[in-house]
Amino acid sequence: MRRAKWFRQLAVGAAAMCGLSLMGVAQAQQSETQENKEPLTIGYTVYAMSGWVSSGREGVDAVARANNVDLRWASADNSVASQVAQMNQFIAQGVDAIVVDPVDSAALGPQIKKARERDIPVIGTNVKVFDPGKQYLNSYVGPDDIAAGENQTRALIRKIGGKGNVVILQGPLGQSGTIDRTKGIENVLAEHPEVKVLAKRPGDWKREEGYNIMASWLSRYGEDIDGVISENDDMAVGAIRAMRQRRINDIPIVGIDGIEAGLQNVAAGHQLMSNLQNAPLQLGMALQVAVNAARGQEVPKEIFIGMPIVTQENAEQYYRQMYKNREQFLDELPELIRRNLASGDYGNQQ
Amino acid sequence: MSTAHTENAASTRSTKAIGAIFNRTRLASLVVWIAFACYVVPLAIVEPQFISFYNIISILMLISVYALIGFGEGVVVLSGGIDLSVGSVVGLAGVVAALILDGHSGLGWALMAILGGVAAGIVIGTFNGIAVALLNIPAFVATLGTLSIALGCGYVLSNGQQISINNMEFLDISVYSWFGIPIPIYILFGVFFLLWLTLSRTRLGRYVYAVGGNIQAAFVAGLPIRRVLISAFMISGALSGLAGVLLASQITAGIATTGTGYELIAIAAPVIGGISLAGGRGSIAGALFGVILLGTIDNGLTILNVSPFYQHIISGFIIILAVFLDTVASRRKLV
Amino acid sequence: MSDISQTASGEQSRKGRGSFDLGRMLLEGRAFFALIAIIIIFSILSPVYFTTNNMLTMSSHVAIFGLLSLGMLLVILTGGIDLSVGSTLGLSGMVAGFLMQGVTLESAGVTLYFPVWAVVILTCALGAFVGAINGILIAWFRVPAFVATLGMLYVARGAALLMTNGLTYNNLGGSPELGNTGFDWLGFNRLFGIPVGVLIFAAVAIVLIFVLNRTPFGRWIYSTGGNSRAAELSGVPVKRVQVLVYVLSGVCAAIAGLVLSSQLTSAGPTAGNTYELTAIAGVVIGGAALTGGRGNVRGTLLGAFVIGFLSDGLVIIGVSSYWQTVFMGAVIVLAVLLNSIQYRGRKKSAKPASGSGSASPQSGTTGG
Repeated sequence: MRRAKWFRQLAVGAAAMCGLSLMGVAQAQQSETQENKEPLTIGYTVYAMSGWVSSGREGVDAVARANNVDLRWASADNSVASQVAQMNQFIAQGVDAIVVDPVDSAALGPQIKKARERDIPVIGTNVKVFDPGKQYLNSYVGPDDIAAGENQTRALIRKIGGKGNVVILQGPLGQSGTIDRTKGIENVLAEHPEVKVLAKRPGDWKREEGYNIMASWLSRYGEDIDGVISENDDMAVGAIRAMRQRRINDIPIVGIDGIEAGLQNVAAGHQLMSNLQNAPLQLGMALQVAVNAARGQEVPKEIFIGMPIVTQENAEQYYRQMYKNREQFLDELPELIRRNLASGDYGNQQ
Repeated sequence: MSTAHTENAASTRSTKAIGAIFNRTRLASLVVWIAFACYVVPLAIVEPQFISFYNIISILMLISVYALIGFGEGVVVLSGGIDLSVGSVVGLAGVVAALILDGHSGLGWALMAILGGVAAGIVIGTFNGIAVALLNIPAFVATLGTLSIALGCGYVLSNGQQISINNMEFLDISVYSWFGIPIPIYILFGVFFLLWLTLSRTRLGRYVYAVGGNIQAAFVAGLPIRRVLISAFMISGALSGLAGVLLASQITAGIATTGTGYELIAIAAPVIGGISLAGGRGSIAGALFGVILLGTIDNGLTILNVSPFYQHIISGFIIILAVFLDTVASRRKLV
Repeated sequence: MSDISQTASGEQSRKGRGSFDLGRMLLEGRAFFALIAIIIIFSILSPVYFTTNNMLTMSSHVAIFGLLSLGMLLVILTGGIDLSVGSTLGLSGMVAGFLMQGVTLESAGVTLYFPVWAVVILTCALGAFVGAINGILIAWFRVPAFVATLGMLYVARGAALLMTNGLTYNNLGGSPELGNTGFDWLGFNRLFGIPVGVLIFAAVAIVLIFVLNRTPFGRWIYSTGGNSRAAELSGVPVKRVQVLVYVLSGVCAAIAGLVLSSQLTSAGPTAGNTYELTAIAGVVIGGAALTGGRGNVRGTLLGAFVIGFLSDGLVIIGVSSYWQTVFMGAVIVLAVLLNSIQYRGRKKSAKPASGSGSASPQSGTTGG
């Protein structure tokens, strides 16, 4: 009797695990539908499934469908070791190309080198890759973070009349996005010595951190704060909530990314401006460049996608394009990416 | 006079206990191994590349980092404690190694960097051990504190930046292979063998089991409880430091945040492999098994191209299921 | 079971509940003094620290962690641990967001908009459900608490991510036409000048104080954690108690998820990541033992406030965030070190040299 029970439990466990592995197989086969071109297998590893990456994933899927790509998607969950393993795995699988959105700019050098030694093109995206990995990249497709930092700072300084006190919410220290956006902010601040930075602090791109840090700053500096520079929209969303909790509505705040909530805040006048970092466009373009490289075409070494400035006038329009009519935007995305790559105006949204 | 007597009695008792432990773990891990096979075999049939030499090496390379911290954690858990600081130590050790290298080339500096990274781990481990054994701070809190402290030290030392490593000898650690097998894998099995010997064949090993199994009895028997606890934490610190050095070599940089979140993997691995969180029960082979299971889940799901969202859910279920089977098995043995 | 004098003091405090227990007062005093010291030091460093407005701001930050800590306290009192609270917080926020956006029924072709009170009840029910799975796995299937809740950590996070494929729900404010406004009242708005989140936190704390001190269930929780075998023999429904504490912990996490989503008027699937360690730290700083059976709500409240007031204080005086991590760690260790010294002193007088007894978090009484 006991033995029978023991075996039954084991069988249930085994069945569950087999079921799980089969589930994966079913999914893997779904993506092999189109037949217009010879099929390619491309590995795509991202640092984590953040909201921004998840939104970009839809664009990547659209480009994959249009190019008959069997997409192998992996998330490293912010662990460098996992991403190293995923790179190795893609190399072991012999994929036709690899796209990597790195956990860390300085890591992955040896893996990129190894992939190139096996003639697998590697495309970096979103987070810059530093040397020694950089020299082996076929191409880097990423945002123009320095320009975005400059744009937001310029807009804020214009709004506060060229002088006053500002606070800065930064991304996680050491990340290329933070480094470049901070560089852009500092470039403009250097031209305006009358603008004083009261405090700056990393909020790690998170809404709740933006909320907590801004609440503390409001306690410390109160009405002395004339403006807030947030290096992304998520932290700005949190900071705006913290200000509203204190019934403060007159401190201008600027952001970057143009996420859904950010565009809505700009349209409603809660946020002065943002810079649209179009996730489906950028991550999709990285895949298109990988496809081109895998098919033996020449690809540009660096592609910096400009971020269009979002103001109250055009926020509604971008919101409609990106979110309300998202299906249509995604349907047209592969064509838009091909046009942009041909023209060199990479940030073009129409 | 009476001390010698009690020590003798205690060691007989602990030897007996260890025998029982090994019997139980063997059966328990057998069940989990079967379950593991049920997952791997279909996977290997559907995706043959899963068991390709290169992929197995790639799994072992990923595991080498997790396994080292898992082993250290295993020793601490066997002694009845817990060490949450391992992930931060991985980052700190990488930063220390990178700072020592700082543009220097040559094998001598590479060795210095390795020693420096391991030493940083030992310092944190000793600190943990003293806090737990001498100052009576619960291990969970003491090591939660050092989790923050070690991470902060890594930040302060590196100024929040990635420190690139250019020393070729140091970078070769993770690239160079003997007979097609990269060095970290030799290190992994070397450390495993050493720990296995230490735990099963030395007095320190017996003491670790005795202290973890029943601290009151160990105290009555006059075992050097404090020294045992401090040693366990030092081993954990040293191995986390070594893992940090290996990882820094793999990613060619020292970065303070590299090991963030590894503590949960480090604890899950020995527990999945049958080491009881209550201490004193289980074997280091269990920790190795736990890490292999976790590594193959991740690798297999990526090969199968399962959405990362499902990956979370499936990993969670497999962890629970593996340990559930293990407890079912060990309970039967107890009855 | 690890230490005789410890168990004895736990016994004593259980018996002496309601009356005035000097030992317990002193123990809690340590966390209390740590909190006072933090407030004094930061007030000297920055004049704005000790203002009503800042205190309220910091308290609403504390409320989120504090709610998790309160649920965690119940679990830890029974000798268990719940690592899934952070993920449950995230999942609850997502479910609230999902319900607030309106649920479209394909078959009927209508979209249902739930009033806020219904959203609250459904979200809490979800938290209870997640907790119930934890509890059943632990009590009936004897999976170690650490593993069961670690697995649930991954499962709940994955489920939260799957709901929107990783995207964030925005604008949980609702609209007057649909009759589902009022989400701001769950944590963001102020009542008598106090953020609602803080009031909810206080209410939950008061309920738990009552439950732990005045009901049979409270006694059962303490006796389950003190010695589960003995508790079982004396007629305590140990398994039911274990399931219930995880259910309550899940509900607390769901409430925290609602408060956080209300503060941000949005819900993201990664919210609450790694909050579990902070929640546990709050409980332990408050004097509870991870072995179970010892600890109380007042201590946990103090622990939560120590952590929250310290981290916000460091932001206010502008300490670099690198050093902030170092300070946080040092203070956690120090606060508990004070507790341990207290214990060692008492143990030495009671029974010499059982020094390292309380050193390691052994759960010798989990009965597994």
